[in-house]
Amino acid sequence: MNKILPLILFLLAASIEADVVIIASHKSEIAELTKKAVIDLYMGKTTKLPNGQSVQAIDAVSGSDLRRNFYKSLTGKSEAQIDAYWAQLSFAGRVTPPPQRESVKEVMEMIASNPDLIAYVDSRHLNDKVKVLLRLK
Amino acid sequence: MEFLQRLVALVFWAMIPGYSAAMDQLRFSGFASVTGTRADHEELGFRRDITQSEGSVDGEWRFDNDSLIGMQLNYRISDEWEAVTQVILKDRIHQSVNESIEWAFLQYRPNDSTDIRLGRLGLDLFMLADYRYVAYTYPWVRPVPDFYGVTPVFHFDGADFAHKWAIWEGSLRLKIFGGHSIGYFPTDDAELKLELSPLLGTTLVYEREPWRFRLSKTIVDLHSNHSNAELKSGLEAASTFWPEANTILNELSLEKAQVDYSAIGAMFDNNNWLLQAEWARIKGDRASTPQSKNWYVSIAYRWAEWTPFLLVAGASPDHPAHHVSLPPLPPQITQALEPLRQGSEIALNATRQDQRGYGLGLRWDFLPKRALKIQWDHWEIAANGRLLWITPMTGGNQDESVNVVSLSIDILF
Repeated sequence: MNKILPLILFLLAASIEADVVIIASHKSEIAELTKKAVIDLYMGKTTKLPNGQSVQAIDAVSGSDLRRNFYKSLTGKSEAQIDAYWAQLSFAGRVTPPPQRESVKEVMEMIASNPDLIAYVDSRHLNDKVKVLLRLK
Repeated sequence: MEFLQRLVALVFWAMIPGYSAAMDQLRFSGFASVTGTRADHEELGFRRDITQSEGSVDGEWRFDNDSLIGMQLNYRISDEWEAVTQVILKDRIHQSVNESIEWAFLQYRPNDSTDIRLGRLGLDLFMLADYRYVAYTYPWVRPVPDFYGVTPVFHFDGADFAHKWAIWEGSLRLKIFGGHSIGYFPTDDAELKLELSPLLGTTLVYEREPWRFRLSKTIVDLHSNHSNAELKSGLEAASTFWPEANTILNELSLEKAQVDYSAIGAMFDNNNWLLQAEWARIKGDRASTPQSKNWYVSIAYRWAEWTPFLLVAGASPDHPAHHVSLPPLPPQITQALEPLRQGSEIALNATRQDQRGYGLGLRWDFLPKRALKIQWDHWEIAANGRLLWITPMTGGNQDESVNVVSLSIDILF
């Protein structure tokens, strides 16, 4: 038991530390984002970073744990509320929701190669081609 | 106006081949509702709004009042320009491709705060204006009929301009719009084609989490050459010895009738509690147009996937019911004119709304983008206040009450 306990603790810690992180290309000029800036970008209130640069936010796929956790910790809203919110805006013809990508690998590649994109991923998937703009606990 | 018609058609048709051409800039999405409704009154038929001529009576289940499917294509031409078209398929009294096109417009957005749109646009009268068909976005089965049932003008052909300011830690959005619209309404004998031209309005929305406040005002001129031919010729013939007949004719005319619609609304949503209330005043210059105050208050609580809600709503007329009396005339003439007198009285009171509604229901978000709803409503409807109901030809002069049960499934895709 004495040998297993640290292992269990380590695994628990590892799973807790898998935060959702908002990322951009390592080539991006922006260093970090506030929670409010991320809310504005993901809720369709702006398409620009605080420094004036236009960016496109990439969303995770509907029904995934990642998407549910991201919006819950960012806005306190359930996925159903987020979908209803976007239905109000998009069926009003005003703003279209961020495009969704299912594959983490694809998202990491898109972000690495295009400094005009931001996305969110599980922090376990981080690599040196992207940088973290905000970490959500 | 010709130009606008062409633009609407152009935006609509141009987007179909665009679909395969450019998948990246193109987005297809949609929504649908399947709703069953059962009303228990023997004579009064339930309807969602006054464009509908059929509805549940006497315990019958019906699916045509609220079931619909909507599809939308967004085509992003550039960072500033976008074309949007939305088609809604549902039961209508006047079915045509043109009527099914809910929106088809070009949008120019030079920055995040400003947009200008041209084409067929949603008519921004009230809180749910832009998404009243998208039942997934609200807790109830349908927009509250006491408030939304009387203004079934869904879109107009014209232009709007909106600008947003960041102010008091929230955002203030001003919109002005203008154009014209055509609507179809059922009448006793046929369908009434109503032209709304010009149609001018403005809305002001202030949003600051968790609040949203809204003010709007719209002014329109109505045009229709429709009239109940029998009643009209009767009144014209009688006017030689019954001077009031001319006044009645004028009151019943819809030619160049002016309507002024003002509304205020507030919404509070802190992710658990969802409170919403709206109040509107409709002023018209004739008895042929509604003249009323319409309102509702809704309270809902989100408890994980479950959202129970309560509703109170009402519509009350601005004027007491019309009573038509004949001048002193020989008894035979009075007797002969009696059907005309009665007919005039019914026609003059036909646009009156005088009712109070109570509702309770439950929404269940059982899967992502799928919601199941059940709702029970009870209405008390006063004599001569039945515009929102499908009524038998004879009209009615007693107070009535109706219970309505609705079940629906709403989806987004």
